[in-house]
Amino acid sequence: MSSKRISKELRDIERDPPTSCSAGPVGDDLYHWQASIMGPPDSPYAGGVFFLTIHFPTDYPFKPPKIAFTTKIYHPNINANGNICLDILKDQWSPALTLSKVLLSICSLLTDANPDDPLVPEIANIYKTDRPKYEATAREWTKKYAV
Amino acid sequence: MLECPICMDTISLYDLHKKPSETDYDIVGELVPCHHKFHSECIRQWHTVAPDLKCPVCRTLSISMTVTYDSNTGFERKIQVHLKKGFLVDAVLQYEGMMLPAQHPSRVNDLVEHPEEMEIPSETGINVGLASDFRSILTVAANERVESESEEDVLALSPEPDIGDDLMCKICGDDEEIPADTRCPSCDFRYHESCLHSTACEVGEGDTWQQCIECRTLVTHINKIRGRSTEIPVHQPRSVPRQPRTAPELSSQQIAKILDSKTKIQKHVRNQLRKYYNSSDVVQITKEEFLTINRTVSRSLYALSDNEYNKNIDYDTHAKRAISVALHKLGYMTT
Repeated sequence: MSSKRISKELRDIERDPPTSCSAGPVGDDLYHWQASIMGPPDSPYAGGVFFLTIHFPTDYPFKPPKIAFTTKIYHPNINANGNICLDILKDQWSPALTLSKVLLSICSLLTDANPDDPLVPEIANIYKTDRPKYEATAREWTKKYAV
Repeated sequence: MLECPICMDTISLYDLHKKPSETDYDIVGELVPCHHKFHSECIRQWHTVAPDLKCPVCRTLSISMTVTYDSNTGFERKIQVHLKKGFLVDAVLQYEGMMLPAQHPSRVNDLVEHPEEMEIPSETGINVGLASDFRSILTVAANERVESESEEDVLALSPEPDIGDDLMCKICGDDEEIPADTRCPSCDFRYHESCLHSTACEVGEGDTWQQCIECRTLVTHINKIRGRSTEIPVHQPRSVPRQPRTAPELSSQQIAKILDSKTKIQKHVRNQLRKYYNSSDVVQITKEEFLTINRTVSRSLYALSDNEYNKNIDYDTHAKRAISVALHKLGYMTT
């Protein structure tokens, strides 16, 4: 079922791409995709383009896709390896979710971080105690790595 | 056009106006209470890995699932599947198929399958050997029913309070309509013969289906177990004949009428079915297949007219359609 459904998602994403995201397979491998997300305008990531790598498991959609940032990003829920702490990519995954919906969720995670469930506690701490400092660092990293 | 949220493929719903040859209806599972629809296979596959029984679309906790399918009778049927019990929808459907028509008084069906009370018409067109086989299969069926009912009685009288659970089929989790008729002598699990068979076929072990799915010991038929009096207490026959549980007592006139109706309906089925058995046609079914199809199709036709022969119903067409679907399911190509 997985390859059929992934092809269907690819068709849908090409026909009606989600705002500020793009995604597609890397080469001939349908199970390995690359995606890009534009930094949301109302966030310190504005102006940056962030790349992600996506691996679909063979039992997709019964298991979530594995998604990681390849562009460095300063965010409480994204670590240095690009791993993302997002519930729908873990225990809240549902087979009715699509990659397009997941990418939109990642976009909103960039706008609204979740410092109470951090992957990088240091960044979460700064986010909570010194918001201007967090925003300045995030902007700086965006300019350095994502523009 | 309805799309399954899991595989994102179209769900083809039952369509009354399509001919059986065009049928390729999906078995549809609709979650209760949220009414989101899926291919039953897709949603059940999700349930095997899901942490809970929440709907993938709206995350409402599901209580049960309504399965809509095109039974091998050529008519759409709906059944309620208990999500924690009836895991293998196929097994449940097969089990359900054996129960057709489930909503009719069991007494009536018992009578028809009881050879002493039912005269098999001599003008069947089936050779004598087959007719007597038919008779003997009916006898077996009737005996099994009596045996398993007695078994229930024995267990109901048993002082052990939890024994009821042991009666449940390990696969479909049910024992209410048909008692699980086979048992593993080693781990004491019970199974419906049909559930075991369809499960084995699903995992590609159709040849070795008569084995306990846990320990692989050959299962024994409950009848045979009962023969060994050491295992289960001998049932004392009651002096008063058992009353039918669900149906009221029927007068001999009513019984005769029902038998007459069923005989007439069966004749239509056999007339339609015979050409696949006795002729040199493309499709050649075996004696066993003939009997099975005859039984299931006839039952579904009784349900059409509430066990009465109705002159306004075109039984030949209905039988033809249902037979064609049944043959198709057995892997025969019909024109």
